[in-house]
Amino acid sequence: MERVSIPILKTGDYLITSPQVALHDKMAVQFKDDILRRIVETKAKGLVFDISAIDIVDSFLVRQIGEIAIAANIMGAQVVVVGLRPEVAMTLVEMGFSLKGVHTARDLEKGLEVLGKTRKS
Amino acid sequence: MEKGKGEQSEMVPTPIVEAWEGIIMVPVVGILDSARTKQITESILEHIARVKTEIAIISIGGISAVDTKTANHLIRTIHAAKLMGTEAIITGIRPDVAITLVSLGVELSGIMTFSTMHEGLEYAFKKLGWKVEKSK
Amino acid sequence: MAQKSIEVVDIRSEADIVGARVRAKAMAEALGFGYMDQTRIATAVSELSRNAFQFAGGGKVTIMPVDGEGRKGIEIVVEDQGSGIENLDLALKGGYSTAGGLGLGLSGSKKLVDEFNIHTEVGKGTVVTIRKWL
Repeated sequence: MERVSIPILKTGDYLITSPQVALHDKMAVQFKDDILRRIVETKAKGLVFDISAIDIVDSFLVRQIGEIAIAANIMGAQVVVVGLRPEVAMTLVEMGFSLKGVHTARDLEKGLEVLGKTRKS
Repeated sequence: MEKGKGEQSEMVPTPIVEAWEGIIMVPVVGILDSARTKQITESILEHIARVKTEIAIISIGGISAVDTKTANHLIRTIHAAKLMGTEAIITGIRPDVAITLVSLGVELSGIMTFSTMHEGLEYAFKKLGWKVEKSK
Repeated sequence: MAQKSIEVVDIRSEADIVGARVRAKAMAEALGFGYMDQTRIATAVSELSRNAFQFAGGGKVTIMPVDGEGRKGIEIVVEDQGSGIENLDLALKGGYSTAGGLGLGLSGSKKLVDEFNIHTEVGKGTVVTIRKWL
């Protein structure tokens, strides 16, 4: 099976990624590894994870995001998830999932702002 | 026009009022049933997805009745708005009503509630860095 | 108007989990559910099919329109022939959350639907039936 990679962009000290396809299982795990590797390579201080193109977020994806956040935090980087769709936000709340350890913000711009504010100098 | 229980919710959808830069108001009046709550949820979340909104002031002083299921749904909407980057606050909720809701198991923790619109506006302006001054 | 008939998805790989939820979402839309409810339904299907795949190695998802007491809705049955859930109460309370998420998905999906029925037998398998009404 061909390995599809999701672009991870660098802007200053931060990384930005915006998956446009459904992140199903093996792909999500590969994506997680890619992100963590990039954080190490670039010594990034933060990651903005834009999920505006994702229409369904289930417990699996929540767990992946949580694991990315934990590993990123250990490496000194904060994670901000942005672009939650109304139906995604509502479903997450209704299921009772907490995005602990993960900041959320409206969009890319706000996400970078949050990273700037939480950064420890 | 039809009379009856669902009258309010069938008539006019609760509007989203763009009150100030980054501040919207949601004036809820009448009977807050599940249909109306659903409409309010979708209106608020769709609006904040389209327009940058720091604060949403949900005023419920004009509500005649609400059950715990509906109150809980409203609370979840507020949490969803938070995930999307908007702080939704409630005005028109008197302290005794707040206590009653909490005793009924409605989870109000972490949500700013105020008795009056005045207090709510004060909070919103302060948070966004606006100052209101009276000119002589 | 398109015929809305029963759809069956065999869960044999991870891609099938996505397939099942996409089909469930499509049928929900065809039946007239709003986008919020479509997402609730699709998410519940995603959770349940993933459980079947992860813990039973696979399963079968059946999606169909239902009629009940003058109202219309959607019914989805997710069944597997795995080893069953030993402590159902714990699983439904989210108590298995440390064991890889069985509890989280199960208890979470229950909150997204109107009716939730689960039948499990250790050594035989599990059948979960969910319904959402318009």
